[in-house]
Amino acid sequence: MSKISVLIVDDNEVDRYLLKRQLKETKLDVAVFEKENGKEALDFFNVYDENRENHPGLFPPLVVFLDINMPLVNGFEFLSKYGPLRSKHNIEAGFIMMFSSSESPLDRKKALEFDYVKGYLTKGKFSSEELKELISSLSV
Amino acid sequence: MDRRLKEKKLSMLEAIEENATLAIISTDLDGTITSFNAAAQKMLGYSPAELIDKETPGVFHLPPEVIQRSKEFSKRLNREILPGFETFVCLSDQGLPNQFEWTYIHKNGDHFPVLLSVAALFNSEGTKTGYLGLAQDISKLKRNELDLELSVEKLATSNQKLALLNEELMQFSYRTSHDLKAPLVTAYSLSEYVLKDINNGNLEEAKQNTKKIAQQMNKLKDLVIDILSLASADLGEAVYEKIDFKNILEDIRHRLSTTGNESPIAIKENISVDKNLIGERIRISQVLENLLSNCVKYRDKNKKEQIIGVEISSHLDNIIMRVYDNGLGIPMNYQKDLFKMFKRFHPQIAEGSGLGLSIVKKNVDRMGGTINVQSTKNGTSFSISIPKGEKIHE
Repeated sequence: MSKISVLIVDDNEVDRYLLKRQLKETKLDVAVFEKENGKEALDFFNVYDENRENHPGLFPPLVVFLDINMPLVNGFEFLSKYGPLRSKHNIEAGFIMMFSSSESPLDRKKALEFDYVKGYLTKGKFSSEELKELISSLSV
Repeated sequence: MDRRLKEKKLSMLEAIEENATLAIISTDLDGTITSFNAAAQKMLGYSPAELIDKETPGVFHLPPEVIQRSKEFSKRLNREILPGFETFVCLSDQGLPNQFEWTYIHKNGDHFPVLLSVAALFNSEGTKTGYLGLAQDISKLKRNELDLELSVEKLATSNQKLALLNEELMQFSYRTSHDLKAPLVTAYSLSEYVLKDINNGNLEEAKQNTKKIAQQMNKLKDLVIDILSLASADLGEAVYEKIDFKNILEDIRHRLSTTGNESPIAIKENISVDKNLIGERIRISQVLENLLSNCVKYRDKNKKEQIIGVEISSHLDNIIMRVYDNGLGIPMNYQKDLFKMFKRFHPQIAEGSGLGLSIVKKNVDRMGGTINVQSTKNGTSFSISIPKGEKIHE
């Protein structure tokens, strides 16, 4: 099985660390990209061809773990700009998994309205097994 | 009709004409005024002798309005109506309702609105003999209407303000609940990993994670302090005290240098105000501390010398506080959101609650002051002007 590539977009370094540890616990073979906010993440997808060359087999990532509350460009702002990028480059994968401490049903509903958002993880409220299942279900 | 009945009717008409609060004005077919009752005299300031057999109603109408109406009526009747007496009567001549608002001009030049109805008069043979105009002064009505419009407008504005406040409050509670919870959730997960690490003998990892827990808790503490000062900035009661700027700045410098800033902070001070100034010391101190703390956080380490300065001066009845630096500046496209809560513009440089400038703004607003910001990549300057409290007379 080839490496699974994921991107974590979160301004909190510790939350990225926690997610990376949970990914490790899944025992899946995972390569991780990290970005600190929506703006950096958009930039990452914008230089598409270059990144494809620089990260053969890993770009675009299969899953993007996306935080909501981030400075400069927040999760929702990212989502609305990501759609056009995804179709422009014909990205088949690049599914979004929300990764937020917000338990607001409104946030959940708003996020899941985008068809490329495949799940909503509440920080601190999911197990490594659940994470593993979710990722496995997304493989293309 | 028998004569007695005719006389009775006549005297009734006379009584109406003399006692009515309506101006009753009659003309012949050409528009020359033939009668002008007491109410009309009072309303317009002319005596009957000045008008009867001499003038037409045009004398107390507003010419531009008559021209305007003549155009409207021409369109409506599909023939040219000349501005003048024809304008007043053309609709009545067609048997159409003729009641409109007009502007009358009193002999003394005052303008006032009236509701004027015009009807054609006929004799017993059915021949048209002239016209009758009934006019009611509606200035009071108009004023009420205007007042009503104003109140409705005012209501709409305060409604808008309320909606904005409500929106702000919702945003605030959404963000505070998130930002308060997030570090707790993170710290809790970290503590679980610390346990795992200790159990597995990974003491180095456990140590690192314990440090991270401490950082999360410190962040939470700062946030709670900021939320509390924002809340207290919102509370009323102004407390006036003597303001010793030297002292205030000394305290701030002390606090800033103990919050983990590696290099000592030099702040240039230039205070040229009266020592006996009175003002809201706590608010002023919060404003200065938040601005200076930003200067420290967003120093531009690529510049040879890092400059941070405060100038306190007075101008007319205002205290002017200028806080400036040659730091990173605020990116142009984010400047419109400068005072919005939870906005952070250099997330990679420093962590913060995103509440600092909201606290500044709220305090300045409460003191009835104004804020002026200039920011480029060469640095930032905040000028704050607040009205002076009274001086203490010694």
